[in-house]
Amino acid sequence: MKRTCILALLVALVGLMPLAAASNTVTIYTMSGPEITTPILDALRAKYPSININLVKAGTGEIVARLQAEKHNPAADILWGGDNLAVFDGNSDLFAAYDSPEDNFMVSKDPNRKWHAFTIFCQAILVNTNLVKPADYPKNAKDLLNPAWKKAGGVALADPNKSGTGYTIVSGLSSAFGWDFIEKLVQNSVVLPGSDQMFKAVKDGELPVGFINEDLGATWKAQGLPIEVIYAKDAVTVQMDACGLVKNGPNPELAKKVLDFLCSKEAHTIAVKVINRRSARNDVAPPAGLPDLGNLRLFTATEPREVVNAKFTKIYGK
Amino acid sequence: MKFDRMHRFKDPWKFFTLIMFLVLTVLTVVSQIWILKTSVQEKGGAFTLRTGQANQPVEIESETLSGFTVRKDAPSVMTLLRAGRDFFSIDASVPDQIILNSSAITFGEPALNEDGKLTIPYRVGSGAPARKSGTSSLQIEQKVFGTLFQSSAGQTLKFERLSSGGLRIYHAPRAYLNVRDTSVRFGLGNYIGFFTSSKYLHAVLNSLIIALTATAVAGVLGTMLAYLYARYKMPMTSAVISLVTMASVSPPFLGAYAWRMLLGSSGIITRHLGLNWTIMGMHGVVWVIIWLIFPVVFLLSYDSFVSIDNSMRECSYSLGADRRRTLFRVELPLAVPGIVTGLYMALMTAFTDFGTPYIISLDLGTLPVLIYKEFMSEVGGDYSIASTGSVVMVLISSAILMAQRLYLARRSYASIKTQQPSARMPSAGKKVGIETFAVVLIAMAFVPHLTVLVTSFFKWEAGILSTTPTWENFTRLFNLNLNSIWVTLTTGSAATFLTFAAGIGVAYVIVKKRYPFFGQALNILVMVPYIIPGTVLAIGFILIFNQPPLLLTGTWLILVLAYFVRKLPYAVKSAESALYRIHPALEEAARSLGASPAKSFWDVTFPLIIGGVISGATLSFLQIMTEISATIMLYRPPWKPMTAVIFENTIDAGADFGVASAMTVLLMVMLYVPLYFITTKTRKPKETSIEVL
Repeated sequence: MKRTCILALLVALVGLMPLAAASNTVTIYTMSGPEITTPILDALRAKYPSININLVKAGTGEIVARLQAEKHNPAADILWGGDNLAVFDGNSDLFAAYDSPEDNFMVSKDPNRKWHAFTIFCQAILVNTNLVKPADYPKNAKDLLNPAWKKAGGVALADPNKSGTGYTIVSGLSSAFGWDFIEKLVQNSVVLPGSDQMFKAVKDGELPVGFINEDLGATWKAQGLPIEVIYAKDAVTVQMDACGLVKNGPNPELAKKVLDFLCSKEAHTIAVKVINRRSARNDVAPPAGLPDLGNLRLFTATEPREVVNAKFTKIYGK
Repeated sequence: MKFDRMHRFKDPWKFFTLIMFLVLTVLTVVSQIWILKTSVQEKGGAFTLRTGQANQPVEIESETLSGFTVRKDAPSVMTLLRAGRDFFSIDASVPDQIILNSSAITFGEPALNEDGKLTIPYRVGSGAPARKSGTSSLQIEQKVFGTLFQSSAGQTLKFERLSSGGLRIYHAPRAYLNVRDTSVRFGLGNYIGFFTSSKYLHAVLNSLIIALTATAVAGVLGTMLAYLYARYKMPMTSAVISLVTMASVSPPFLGAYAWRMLLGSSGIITRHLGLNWTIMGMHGVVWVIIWLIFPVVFLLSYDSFVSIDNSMRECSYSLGADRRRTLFRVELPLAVPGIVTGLYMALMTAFTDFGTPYIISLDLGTLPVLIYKEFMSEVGGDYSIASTGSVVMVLISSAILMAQRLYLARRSYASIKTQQPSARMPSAGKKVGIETFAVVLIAMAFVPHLTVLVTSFFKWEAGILSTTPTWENFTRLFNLNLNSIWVTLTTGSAATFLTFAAGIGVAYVIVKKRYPFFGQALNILVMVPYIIPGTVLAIGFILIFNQPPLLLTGTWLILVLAYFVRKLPYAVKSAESALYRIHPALEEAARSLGASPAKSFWDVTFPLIIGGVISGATLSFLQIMTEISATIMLYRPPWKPMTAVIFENTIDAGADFGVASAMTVLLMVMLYVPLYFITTKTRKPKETSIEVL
């Protein structure tokens, strides 16, 4: 027994020895799945064979909580993905400012230079075709106020207090139609604690109608799922995700190189091809099959999180 | 007494208790103290100022106002009050600037940080301005929303000090100004907020309803099955025990989702039977949790039933009691330590389960879900209310723990002799009945496992199962880096070894030693991590282990430690219920014959409790190897366990579940094969005497 204990202690001590912190390692935190990270990182490795990438994946909430907890001695160099307003502006103390040469090619750049645009995506209306007849498909966002939806279960709506996509939808639609509209929408909705919950509720037929990020909607439609993706004529909300350097990350110089690559035309072209996302770069064409942004009445978040959250909480109840 | 004093320094248990107390204190109390601290910190107050569109007065967005009240003095001029007294005033009558003035507080020198936030230290009262920043300050942050994606540049605030002692702040046109008082007061405000919020009270109620209903049903099913298998000599008893043990873990992540795939509105079964039904909702949550927790009730009560001394039964019969009376008056009471401990573990699992209500309902608020979503909010959650909720949860759970402990400690179930298990031969009809009952229960518990197994051989498209059979999931799996298998095995075994060793010791101290303070303290310390969600526990670990000298983040050791404290309760509780059945006289006999405390433990007590301990250790092992919530907060490549691989292949709504289901199958096989050998080897059906009655 004693011998086993000593042995275990020795093994533990060996484990404690710091892994020789390789100076060619860059740690990336991301909430994206392997379907997008794998091809882009393969391209990165082909270009910079000497760089070793450590990838840590978790949900957006867990990643933000982890970055917050680690901020006195960060393990991550880069956060890749996450809403530019909710995640990056909302936690700006976690990120370092950096002038990426690629920023000049983007449709938008952060005045504080903390986030660097990655992709743009609209929230379309998602309908489950098993539950809704084509004649009843909503054409406008305002059609979602029809009490018939509540009788059929309700509109799937992500809580803006819990989800960046929910924040974009609520703030975008309130800027289009005012908070009265949101009040009526909430009465007609089932408020879900996350955007994934919202997408899946309609996909799995638990609720007849909701919202979806257009890239995922297009992918699902192409796979033949019983869904329809509809761009409302009166208002479509739109958001952006981004990447950024973690403040005081272990390997800042190399991280800049990697970040520049994530923002490069090459990486964005892969993203467009693989996940159907619109690139935030001016020089990368949008994916085939998505409507031209110029033909949509676009609305984006126009009030800060604090305001949207507080107003929504007042409507939805404490 | 004299005897005791003589042995005070020879009693290795005291040393062990002290070490465990220190280790657990660091791992559970020190690492989690931030929750308690946050829960009694009241925020200073905050509001958002909407500055003008042309000709519109500047206003405070009333919904955002907290910690202050506001009085409007003129259009665009307002005074913020705290506790009914003027605090400071804002004059925004000139466009694109605001003037802060106060007679109640003195502003210090403002500082602009690189995020564009303006920090203004202040001191209550007049006189020398506050110099030290970080104590009390007003923090002002500007947000400007331009047209689509065109954030306006130059969002930095400018300021100048006025001779009056006030401050003039220049902001961008049409900006939102978030103003936050960073001062912190300690008080019970968060608790008042918690208990006056119908959302949180409902969540507490929902959690209790779910936990109690599921535990009641699982308790009846689990004890019934355990009793039948303990009382009757049934074929394949050890197989049943192995299977139930295996069913005690659900495949991580995909397990609960399997029920939704089968029985949701458009689930596979629902569609084929043309039902208008869905499992989503509280009824479904209870249903799924029942099958998750009945194994632990079964395993712990089975050990208790088997070890009932048959002479007790014989006494009862000879005194004229019939079988029913004997069951309720003799057998059940004698098995109480196991049953109560099993029910307690089941109740705690049901009460703290986050995944099931999150997946098997759309918007059902339960306490773990609300706490989790506040802590893990991607848009800035409310840590105060989440911490308060966690403390409330710990308090409720501690109350249940104390009740369980008082109940068990007041009674004595101990037996002085170790008996040969005895059982009756069932009649042919009874045998079939019991077997059917067992098959139904086990089949239900294995629905998620079987679903995942079947689905791993089909093609997945965008998270949807197709009907095309394929080997591709597995071939893709083996093309991945299989390093994670090794990581899971090593960290899992190390943690299991630790829980095994520490579990016996802690249970022994709790039950037999009953040291005045440390015994109770250990008992509670062990259970704390069982109650705190894994991700939240992991935040605490990062907070204390992310800096030298205890720089453990990113190593495998932090995973082992997290697994160890999270799953220790299984080992402790099983050993505890076994120990309650052993009379102290046995060990005292050994001691009086001159055996040292250690020797008397090893030679007398240990062999008697090994069955209970092993079932606890196997439960820990299964739980450790499938642990996911702390893992995703703590892992860092190359130390990346299999559960992290499963998780990353399921996190996106558009993710392909194929690799995840194949990896889950591999993980289950890795768990079940050793488990099978352990259970069949250690649970060798003992010589069972057959009762003739």
